[in-house]
Amino acid sequence: MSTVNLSTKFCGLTLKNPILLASGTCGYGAEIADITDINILGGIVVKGISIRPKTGNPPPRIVETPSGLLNAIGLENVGLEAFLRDKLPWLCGLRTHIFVNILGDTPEEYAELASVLSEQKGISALEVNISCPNVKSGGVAFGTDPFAAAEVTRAVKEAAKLPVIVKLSPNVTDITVIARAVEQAGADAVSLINTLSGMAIDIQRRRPVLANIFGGLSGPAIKPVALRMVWQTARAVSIPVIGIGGIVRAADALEFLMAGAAAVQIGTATLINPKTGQEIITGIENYMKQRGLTELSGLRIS
Amino acid sequence: MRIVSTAEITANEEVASQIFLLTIFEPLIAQSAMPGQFCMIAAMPHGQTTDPLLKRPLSIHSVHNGVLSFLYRRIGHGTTLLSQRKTGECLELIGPLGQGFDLTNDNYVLVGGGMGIAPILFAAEDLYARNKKTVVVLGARNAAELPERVLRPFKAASHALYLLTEDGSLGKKGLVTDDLAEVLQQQKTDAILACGPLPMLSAVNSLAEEFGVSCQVSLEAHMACGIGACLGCALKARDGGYLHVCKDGPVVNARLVHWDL
Repeated sequence: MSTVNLSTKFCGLTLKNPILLASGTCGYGAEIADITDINILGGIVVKGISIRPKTGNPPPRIVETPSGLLNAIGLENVGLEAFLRDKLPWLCGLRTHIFVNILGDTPEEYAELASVLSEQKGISALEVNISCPNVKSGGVAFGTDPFAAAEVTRAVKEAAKLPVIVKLSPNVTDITVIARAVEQAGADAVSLINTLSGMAIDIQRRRPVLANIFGGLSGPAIKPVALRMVWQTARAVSIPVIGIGGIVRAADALEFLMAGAAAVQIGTATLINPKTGQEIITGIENYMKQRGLTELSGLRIS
Repeated sequence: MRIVSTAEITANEEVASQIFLLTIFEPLIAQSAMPGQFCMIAAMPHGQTTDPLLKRPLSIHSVHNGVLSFLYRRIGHGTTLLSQRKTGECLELIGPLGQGFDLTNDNYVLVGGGMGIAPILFAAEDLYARNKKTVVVLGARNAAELPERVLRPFKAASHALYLLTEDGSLGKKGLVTDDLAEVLQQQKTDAILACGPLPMLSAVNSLAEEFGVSCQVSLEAHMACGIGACLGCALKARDGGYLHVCKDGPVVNARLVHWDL
């Protein structure tokens, strides 16, 4: 039996495997560390950080839909200062890559976050959130316009000493246009997709379920859409693509890797079963062993 | 210690119309569970379906000899599938989760309304076994929701049990809060523990403030993960911002809640 090498390289980083936990689904790591072993993962992307703390949206913030989860958390986070003081020291003790998701209302705010976080030890790369559908300013406003997306990317690249991954919104006509724009602006990689904008109505009360009316849809329901966009983007840009969207089992992750993703992120599935990442790593390894594949690159299809 | 487990169903019976008593043999969770804590329970076996996608948060109703019990109402897709699960089958759960009741005082009044009676039993059994004064007030829509099967353990774990139903078919006619003022006048009380719909908890909190008694409430919210990762289960806090029911609660001091509902 040949040995399977699950390691993957992108942005100058070597990950022991291509499985990351997605921002917003694993807190700052410590929230889930007692029930799953984070160190066996390729990395984790911590909850999006803004300069100042955000309290998030009023409830209800979440509702389950068929094979999906609609959320409008509203980017609730502890803010940069508390992150550096209370969260990062613990994260630095992990033996896996730490990716910090950042968000702002202006390109200057993104740049400030990038600048401060670049001075810290223990962070492998930044993930720039220009795609949250649940807040009015910033977020998706940057992610749906190629010029604004490029502007934010440039601002972050100028300020950052770390690799920059730009997380893309699927709520656009052609995601490859945005992907190419951020690539030209200097992005080292792109991750996609963030949630799809959606809603649910309570027919008993005759009003939207979410207080925010709209939310972002995640989970298995969005996987075919995410996969199609990863396939397209991987063929439109020459920077690495990180696949995200509805991955709950090894077969899903394999589809994204075959579509051209250099790595994948597990999101909603971790909320349901915190050990999903671990199960997927084992599943990919078994699949490759059975087929005599030794390298992840052998999975990719043209 | 929080445990991700696959455990065997020892019973899952309809004890009243649409109300089920689920018991699961899970000694590790049972051993560390505190009254007021909950578990996230999957309606269907691992990998069998993605609809429903999420586990359901259920308060621990009672713990005996390694067996956890849960009292739940069949109300939607998830609980309908859960109600069809059979003895001997396995289900996935995570627990024990969240903050339980503070049970360090001597004289308690416990108030449960509707399915809010679920965590009240676990607290009553713990207090009663430690010889703390345990007065229980239960409310339901009608007598059918409080069959003897459900009431028996409450009778066995309380020094006084007050029953109220909205239609008067069992006990007094009215809401739990109708009797609470009288109970608080008659019974020396250090703390109130309450679980039920938000308007009920708000009314209980008002009475607690009026009588100058400490009050802990067990809260409910839409929940995705139950483990503090998603921040979905927000509830407005009195001092601004939000409480997160799964990690700040489900049991919180009533003073922390913004009761302007």
